[in-house]
Amino acid sequence: MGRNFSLNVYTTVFIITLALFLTGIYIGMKLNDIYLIDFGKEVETLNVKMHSYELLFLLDNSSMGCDLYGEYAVTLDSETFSIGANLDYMEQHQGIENKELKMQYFKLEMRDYLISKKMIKQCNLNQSIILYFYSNTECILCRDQGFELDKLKHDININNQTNVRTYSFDGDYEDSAVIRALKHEFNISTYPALVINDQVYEGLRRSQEIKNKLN
Amino acid sequence: MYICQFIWNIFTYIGTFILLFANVFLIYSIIKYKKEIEKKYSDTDWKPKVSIIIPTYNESVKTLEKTILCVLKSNYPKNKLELIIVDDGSTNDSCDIIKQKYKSQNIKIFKKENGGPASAKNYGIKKSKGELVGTIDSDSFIAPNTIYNMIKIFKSDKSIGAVASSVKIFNPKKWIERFQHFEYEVILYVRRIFMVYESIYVTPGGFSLYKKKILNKLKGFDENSLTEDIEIALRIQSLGYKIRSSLDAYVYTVPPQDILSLIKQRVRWIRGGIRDRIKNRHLFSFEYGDFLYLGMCFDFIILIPICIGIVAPFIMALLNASWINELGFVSLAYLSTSHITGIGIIITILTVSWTLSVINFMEKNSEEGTKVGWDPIGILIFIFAYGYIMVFSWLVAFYKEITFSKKSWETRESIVR
Repeated sequence: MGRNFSLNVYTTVFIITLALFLTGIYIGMKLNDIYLIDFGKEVETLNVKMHSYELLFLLDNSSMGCDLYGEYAVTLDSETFSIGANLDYMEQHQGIENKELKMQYFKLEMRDYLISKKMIKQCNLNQSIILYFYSNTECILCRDQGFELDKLKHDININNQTNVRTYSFDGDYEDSAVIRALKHEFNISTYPALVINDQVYEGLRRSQEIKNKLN
Repeated sequence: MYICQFIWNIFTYIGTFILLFANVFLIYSIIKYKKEIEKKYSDTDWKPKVSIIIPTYNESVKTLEKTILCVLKSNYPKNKLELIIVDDGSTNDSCDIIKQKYKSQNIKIFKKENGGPASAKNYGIKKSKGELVGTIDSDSFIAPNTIYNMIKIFKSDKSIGAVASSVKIFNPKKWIERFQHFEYEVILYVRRIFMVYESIYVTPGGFSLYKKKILNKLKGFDENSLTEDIEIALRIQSLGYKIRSSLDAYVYTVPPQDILSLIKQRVRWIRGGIRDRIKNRHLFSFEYGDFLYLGMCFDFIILIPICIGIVAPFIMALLNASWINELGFVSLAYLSTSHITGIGIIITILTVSWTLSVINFMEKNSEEGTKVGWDPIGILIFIFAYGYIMVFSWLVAFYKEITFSKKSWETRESIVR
């Protein structure tokens, strides 16, 4: 019988589709860039803010510094957390991993950690610090550990209990001097790993267990 | 990167590419073949004898009467019109009442043992004397010019074997009717596009006209098919006859009135569509040209991206459960990778253009006085709900196929496509 097969139509449609597909990918990449620029600005603002506080803390050793730290902890904790959550979302859901931004974020966390450690001691505050080391390549339980820490933060917020500062670090970032230094200091070799008030705990720890250790 | 994540990404890209390809194909065809798609046929003096068969089973007198009257009111010479009602073993007395009431009219009423809609249609074909035979569902109504407008198409080309009508929803008011109203317009538009490629794969049960000699050659409708209107179209295509779709042969039907009936209808369409294609698998050949891709595969290929887009989030939610994380399926949530976002923007632009094109088509091709106008809510419901209904219907159809569920008149709803 031999009916017409519109090969020319399908070929043209295929070429147009391919061109649009590649254009779509290009648009996606450009959108990422725009998003990353905005996000970079956010990180930079936090950086400047932290720097100002840092100077104030260095200048003032009196009780005024302790009052200032209260304000600092409330503001910066939520801002740092939001940047961390954004980075995580981008990496997990959008496939965007920006090494430079991540390293900058770890640097911010490190500075925040050092300030908090100093001020907690100086002001004799009832506050705990948790460092969380994870890996995105060789850790099956890290996602669960992330959930447990979120749960802990949620519970503490609800019950208005002891203030806890949590800092997450990607152990795979060996290029970052911050990561190298912290891993070396606490001798971290497996993931997930938690450092709760300077004590190292390897393996998955449930939120209740962490809460017990804080008390 | 985990292997699952990688495989998932590949699936997402393939699905997106298919969706984009389908969109581009339709828009390209609309632009390239605009004239053919919107073509209307010239008047004719040819008035062949036409037999209209109404198969019925336990239909109410009121509905049946409405269907009979609309055929009798057709702008077609009465001596050339033969009306046949086939009662497929109804347990009510509707046909007896009709017989009494329309004694003076030239209506032939036959009673037979229950055998299903296709068997009732075949019975009517055997009793018919027309050169052209039409079958109309007992709950559908044709416009006065419908028969004549279809005759014009038959006259335009001797190799035309069947003409499909332009099925519309009667007076859409409820949300479920409003979205189906738009869906039927999309179906009609796509059918007109497929017509250009000689790839129409259904002659709607609502109302279609066939050349009797072809029906005889094919030995009528397949009585075992769930969708005899698809099955007969596949065999007409297989014989090498053309099928045309009319723009102005209006047929009005009452669609399923609740979500359950709608899903039941779609499940039947899907099951029938698959079975009929398997039965006529010889059509999966390049020998049949475009029909291979458009008539046999398009419906199923387009389901891949719909399934990926709709079923995937549920799988993702499951995979995010912590016990699965422990098995190693971590971070599968790669659905909305940034690249896909960019392609999604392009697909959205194409879909909007395509929707506007359907709205324009709808405005141009509605019967005067029955224009529903463009209904943004109906369209939005169609865009957001249709995919879910189809995927769910597919799952039910798959379940029913593997459990060998049987068909019957009771499971049939309004038979339109």
